Amino acid sequence: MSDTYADAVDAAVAGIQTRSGAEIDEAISSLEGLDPRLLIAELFLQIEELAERGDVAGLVGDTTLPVPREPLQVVDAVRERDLARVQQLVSTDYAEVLAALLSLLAALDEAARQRRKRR
Amino acid sequence: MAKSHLQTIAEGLQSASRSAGATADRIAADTRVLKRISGELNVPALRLAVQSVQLGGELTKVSRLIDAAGAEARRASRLAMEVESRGTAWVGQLVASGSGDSRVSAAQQRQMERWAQRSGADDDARAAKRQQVADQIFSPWVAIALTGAAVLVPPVGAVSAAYGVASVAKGSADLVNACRRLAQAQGLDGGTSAVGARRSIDHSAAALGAEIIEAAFEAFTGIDVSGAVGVSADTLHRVRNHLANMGHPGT
Repeated sequence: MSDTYADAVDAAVAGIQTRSGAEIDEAISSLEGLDPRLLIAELFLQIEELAERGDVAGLVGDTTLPVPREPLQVVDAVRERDLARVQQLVSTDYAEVLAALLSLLAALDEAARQRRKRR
Repeated sequence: MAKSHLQTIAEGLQSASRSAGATADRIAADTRVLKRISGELNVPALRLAVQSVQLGGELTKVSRLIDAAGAEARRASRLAMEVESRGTAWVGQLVASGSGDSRVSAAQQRQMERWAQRSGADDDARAAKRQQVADQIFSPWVAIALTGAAVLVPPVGAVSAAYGVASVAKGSADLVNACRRLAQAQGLDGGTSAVGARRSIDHSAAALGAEIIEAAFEAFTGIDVSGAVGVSADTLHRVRNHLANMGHPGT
């Protein structure tokens, strides 16, 4: 029933979506101790899942949360599972890549949810 | 993250409904066994043999009891399946009601919705897929590290070839451990003999290969991936700073 990585990423994303500094702090802390590679993999999977629903450009346009530079290209790189390309677009620093992916996922997820509510 | 009260209730229901579902499956299996036994009791040769010792009435009673047990088991199985079905519906209703409950935070609601969509089997499949994705994402680093190591120290190429592309695909952690085991197996005897010298070289090459692979990952993650240490608080502090630099609220 419990998936540590999915739960931790969900918590981090939800924390970012609160737009509260304190909530974000607490949510990010839930990632401590996780395998750094599996964490990246989980972020890739969740971004892929959102992107598969289509209209990523629309979601990026709808969101009011900060996203990394070149968000559509980052999504394309994630879908191709090309971490090197993500690094070219974002940074070679792990922490910066993690922040970019979390931010992107939070933004896409929130925009997708809002679209579903409007239907 | 703390669970919402609704999730606590929903988890209890989901656990109960899954147990009911498993029970229904077991009862269904027992029912099939009972049916088989009943069939075996009705074998003509057995009936004749039992009747010959004037126990035909007893056999009939046993047969009827088994049939009655089978009927009860089928009823119990249907009830257990209904518990599972209703429990699942209740879980869905609880998750849906969470969105209108002010005591449930957005984070808890999101977590609950994703959690309710997953089953135990889904979690296992998810974990396997995540590992596969991790291997796929990080295999270029392993390949680069091995190529570099093979150029620097030719026996490393032999080590990597021995474990094959499959090892690379499986994940660097396996290859690192394999290199370490190879190094340990070959020992440190060094010695003055050609074999001993070769062993030292191979040991060094395997150890070097392992170090190069670890260094490649560490260069990217900033974390010692050879051990059991995961993402550190320091790394997360930097993540937090990067989020703030992107425009998210600061600490």
